[in-house]
Amino acid sequence: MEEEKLIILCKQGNKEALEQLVIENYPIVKGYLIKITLNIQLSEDLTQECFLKALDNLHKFVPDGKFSTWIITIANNLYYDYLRKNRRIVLGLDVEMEGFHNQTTLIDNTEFKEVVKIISELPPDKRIAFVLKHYYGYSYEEISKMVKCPVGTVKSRIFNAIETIKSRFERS
Amino acid sequence: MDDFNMPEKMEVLNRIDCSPNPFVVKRIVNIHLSKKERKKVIREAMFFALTGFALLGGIYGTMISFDYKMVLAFYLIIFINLPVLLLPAILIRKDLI
Repeated sequence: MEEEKLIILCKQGNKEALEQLVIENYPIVKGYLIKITLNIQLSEDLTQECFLKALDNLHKFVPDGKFSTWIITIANNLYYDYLRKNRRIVLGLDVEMEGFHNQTTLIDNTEFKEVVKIISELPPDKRIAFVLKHYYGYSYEEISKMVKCPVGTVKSRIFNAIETIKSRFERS
Repeated sequence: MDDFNMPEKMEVLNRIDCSPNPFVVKRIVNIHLSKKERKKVIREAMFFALTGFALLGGIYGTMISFDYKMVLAFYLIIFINLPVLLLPAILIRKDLI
């Protein structure tokens, strides 16, 4: 079913349509939150919270863009809220890696740990901008709207993130 | 910046399984629908209550101009009628009638 029709049905409270919308977008949101939080448990919690918030505010969604873009913006806001509320709790890399144990049986463990370590060294703002640009292919303008900051700031965040990543890879 | 080629290693994060658990999907939808239902009930109850107050206010206004004893009657009407005014809205929404 087309996304637009699906959203109209969801706004009417159609249960099947709501389930389909969640099933279609769940991997996108969870995958995104895993990349920015680097914590499986936290990303699952935030994904559920994000969908609840999105469905409650579905009437505010204007279908001039993709639903996934809108929901990623909500995910960003939730992650920033989480960081603000948990300013004192700094997750160590070991804690962050905990949830990944089941996943790493399927993929190369050392390679995986190295990537998680490199990304975890980026501050959240730079990490978000980098992930949106290089994992999801959003333009600078789209990212600036999503994170609510000027395009120049987005560019400099991505530039800094790339420099950090390059230097870490060169070192390793 | 645009010519940056992401190292192949970094693609490892895309290989994490993110498929949803059917139970989680159902839970999200059910929580959303029950919240929506609750909001509807509250909205209808508010509508009935406000309409009731407006009606009673009208009745009171008319009566007070004739008999001061009606003040007591007014309060009596409110206390007797308020739950009656709210009840149908709740019962309809809960599919009890």
